[in-house]
Amino acid sequence: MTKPSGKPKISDLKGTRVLVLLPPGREAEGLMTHLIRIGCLPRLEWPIPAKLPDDVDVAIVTVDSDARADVRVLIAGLSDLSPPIIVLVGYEDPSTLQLVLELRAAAVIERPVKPFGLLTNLMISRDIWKRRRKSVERIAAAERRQTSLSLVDIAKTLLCRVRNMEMSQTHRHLQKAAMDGRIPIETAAERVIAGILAESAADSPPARPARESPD
Amino acid sequence: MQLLNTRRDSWPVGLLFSGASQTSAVEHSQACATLLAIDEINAAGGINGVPLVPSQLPIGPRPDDYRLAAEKLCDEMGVRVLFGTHMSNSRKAVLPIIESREALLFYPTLYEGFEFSQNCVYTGAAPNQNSVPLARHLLRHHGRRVFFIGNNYVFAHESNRIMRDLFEQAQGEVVGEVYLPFDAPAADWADVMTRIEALRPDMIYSTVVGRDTIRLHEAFAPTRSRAGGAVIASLATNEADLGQMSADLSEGFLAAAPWFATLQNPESLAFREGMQRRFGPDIPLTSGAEAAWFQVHLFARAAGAADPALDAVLGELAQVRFDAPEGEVRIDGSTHHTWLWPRIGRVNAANAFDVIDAVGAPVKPEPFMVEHSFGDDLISHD
Repeated sequence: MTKPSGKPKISDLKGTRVLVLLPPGREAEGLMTHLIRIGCLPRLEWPIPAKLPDDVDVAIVTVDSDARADVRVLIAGLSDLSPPIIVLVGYEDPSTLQLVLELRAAAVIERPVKPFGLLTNLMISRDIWKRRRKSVERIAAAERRQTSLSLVDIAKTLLCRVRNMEMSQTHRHLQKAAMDGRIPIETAAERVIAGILAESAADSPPARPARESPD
Repeated sequence: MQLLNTRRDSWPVGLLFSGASQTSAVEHSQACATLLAIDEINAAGGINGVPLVPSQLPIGPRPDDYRLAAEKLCDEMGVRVLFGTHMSNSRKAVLPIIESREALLFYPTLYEGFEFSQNCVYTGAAPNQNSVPLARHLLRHHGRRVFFIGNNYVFAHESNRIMRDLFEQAQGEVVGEVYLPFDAPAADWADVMTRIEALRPDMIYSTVVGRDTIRLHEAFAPTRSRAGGAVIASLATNEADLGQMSADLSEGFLAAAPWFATLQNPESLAFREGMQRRFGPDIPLTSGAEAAWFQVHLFARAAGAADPALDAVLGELAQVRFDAPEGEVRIDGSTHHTWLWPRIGRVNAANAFDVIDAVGAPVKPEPFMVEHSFGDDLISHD
């Protein structure tokens, strides 16, 4: 659940930098005018660039037949943190929908473009993107934590087996090493692992590691 | 409630066919067929004594030109029943007008499917009604290696997606896929032919449309690929295109459509005779024209039996049947698309289609079918 402080705010929309990837013309003009009307900062670009620039909050993209080759290039360059994309669609056939999915569309606007609905789609796509970014950050943090936990576990096991330490003492040992060295516990664990590995490498004959299969 | 007949002594209807578009030749044949059907209906007493009065405005090549014409027909000429548009972008441009005016559009052209409007009736083929029979015929008789060439528009992309699925299901292979813009220069066509000669496909599946069709056939005619037995097949090439070529460009070409001008049944003979009497011997007779013709008759039957309001006419349209040149046709009430009779035609030495394959019963329209297969043709048995 989103915390009360993290509640999406409608006022966030003001000043949103919107990149509009549409051929200049009546439709693009109408869309730009309405984006300005609702307080966004739109920028029109054509043809579709190979990569989305970093200084936009939302991109609106057409998937018309003659833009498809460029859209494919754009898709290849997308990452988890690319800005949210709103796709402008005129058709609902599977070959069009395939591109909508591959663009990881946060929202879809149907043609002909009407002012009504644009605000909602912009807000939803910004909100989805913010959540997506938070998820990506949370996953990265969880992965970092998992790595550090594994390192600590490995170090503890080595301390038990190689240094003949009691398992109950190993954690205190690592904590002390971290505090003495003013380093995170996983760094202390890494140093312990490295130290023990270096010793065991020095003990075994270099030409013939113990685990090599006999020839 | 909005009525479809806005006058008491006449029933205004509108035609939306362009004389300036990429596909103007076939659109002309569809406009003529529409006018012929209106004449026939009026000669038989109109809709319960009220004659249909057609209005037709000059329409430019752009989708927006069709939209403006639809707007004018509805707002200034009291039209609420319209026949026409051709490529999907023209239909898409017109539909918001049709819907907002509570009007009814009859669309007589094959297209890529995936559309429904309460205000539109679709009488051309959906992909399941022509792609599957054509792919089956090609795989049975011409080989497994296909090259896709098309103009860059929505039907081409979607039709190729379906054809790729079907070929891959049968262990076939798509050896190349090229989209050219409309009116591409001759050098682009030559480049494509160089690729075709290098790849040696068994057949070329074309979604090239209108004027560019003749350029495709001109470019292909002198190739080693054609001399070696490769053929072009298409759903989008018809008798109006053949009319602009000679047999040395067209012979061997394959098409799938519900109707071909060479069909010999009494309804086809009557339709052909009516068209030639009214518009001269050179009028192209196409499957699109046949649909344009029978859809007016379907409308007249339904309108004659219902109140002249949109919902009543739509309800009746789901009930009526009509002996069209291709066979008995009817509208599927849930999708507003039409049960049709797929056939395969091959162009002979006289530059005309020989019908070489046909189904025994009409095929149900499945405009929202994502995965097509050879196993289940959904053939009607009633």
